[in-house]
Amino acid sequence: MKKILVGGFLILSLALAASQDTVDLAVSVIGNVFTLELQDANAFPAAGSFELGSLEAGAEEFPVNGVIVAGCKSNTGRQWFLQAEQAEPLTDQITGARLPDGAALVRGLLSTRSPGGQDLPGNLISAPQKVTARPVTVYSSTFRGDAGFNNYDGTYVPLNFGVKVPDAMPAGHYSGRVLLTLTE
Amino acid sequence: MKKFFLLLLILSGWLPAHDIEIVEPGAKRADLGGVQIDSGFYGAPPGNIKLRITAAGPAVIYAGIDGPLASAENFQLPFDGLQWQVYYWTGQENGQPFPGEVLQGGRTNWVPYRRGETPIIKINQAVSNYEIQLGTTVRRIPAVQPNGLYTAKIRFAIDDF
Repeated sequence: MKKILVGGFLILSLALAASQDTVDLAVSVIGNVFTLELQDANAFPAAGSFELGSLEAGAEEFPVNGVIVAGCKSNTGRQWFLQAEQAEPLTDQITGARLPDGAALVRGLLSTRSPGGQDLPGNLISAPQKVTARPVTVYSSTFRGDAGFNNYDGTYVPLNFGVKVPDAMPAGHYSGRVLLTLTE
Repeated sequence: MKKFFLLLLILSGWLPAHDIEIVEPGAKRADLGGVQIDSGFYGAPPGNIKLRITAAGPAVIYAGIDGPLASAENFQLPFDGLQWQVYYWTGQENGQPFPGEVLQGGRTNWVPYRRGETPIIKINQAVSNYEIQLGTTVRRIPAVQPNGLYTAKIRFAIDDF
């Protein structure tokens, strides 16, 4: 009797298990990316230089011309930082006059270019910061490197460069170089 | 004893009259191998799935996925990126694929696997050893997808139509 009962339950359980089946799928993602690409406000590759225009002595401005977008791409899955530093000070090449260290400014713009206008997931410094010879962080990703944001297509950080002109600065055409760095 | 056999007869009346079996891939595991970031359409041939069906009458075959392809660190591939395509089914008179459009060459469109159950084939009548073959593809690996082994479970089921 016991054998009949066990056999009956076994047949019943085998029959009940037949209406569905599963496949385990696996894929290994390989390849590394850790790049920074600069674009202008219209998503075209940045020309590499921009004119902030004419400013009066004593003025502090963030001209529209000073907008640049830093396309940060990292698949390490770890936190990264976007930093800015003054590589060459703002200097008048004719007179040799130089704007003081920290005259160049940078701030993060709160508008985004990601699909759906999502807020950047990390920490964007929107308050003006002085750009000096020492790097300053303008954006920090999440601890997972902004994984999942923008459909894993990278984080595009809009920045606005500006200048604070000292009160007694002589008139002239001042040019310099700012370095943007993506780092962990 | 008589009561026991009567119970078995009643229970057998409630047993599902359909059967579905995954014939390929072997060991019911499809390993698509290494795929580069910022690329796409990986699947064939490791992603080919062959089903064998027995149905007691009109029925529908469903496909579904429990969740997105995800790594141990819970990085996820785009959920709609894992897709299926029916490219063979036994006899036109016995069944038609969903959503109904069959492209030139006898294949359906690529359709994303989704949570729950998505109908893939409608079977019109009782069949035995009815075969369906599907391709599976990972449509796109994003440019900044973290490295790792991403896994998911694809589920196939059959039910009355």
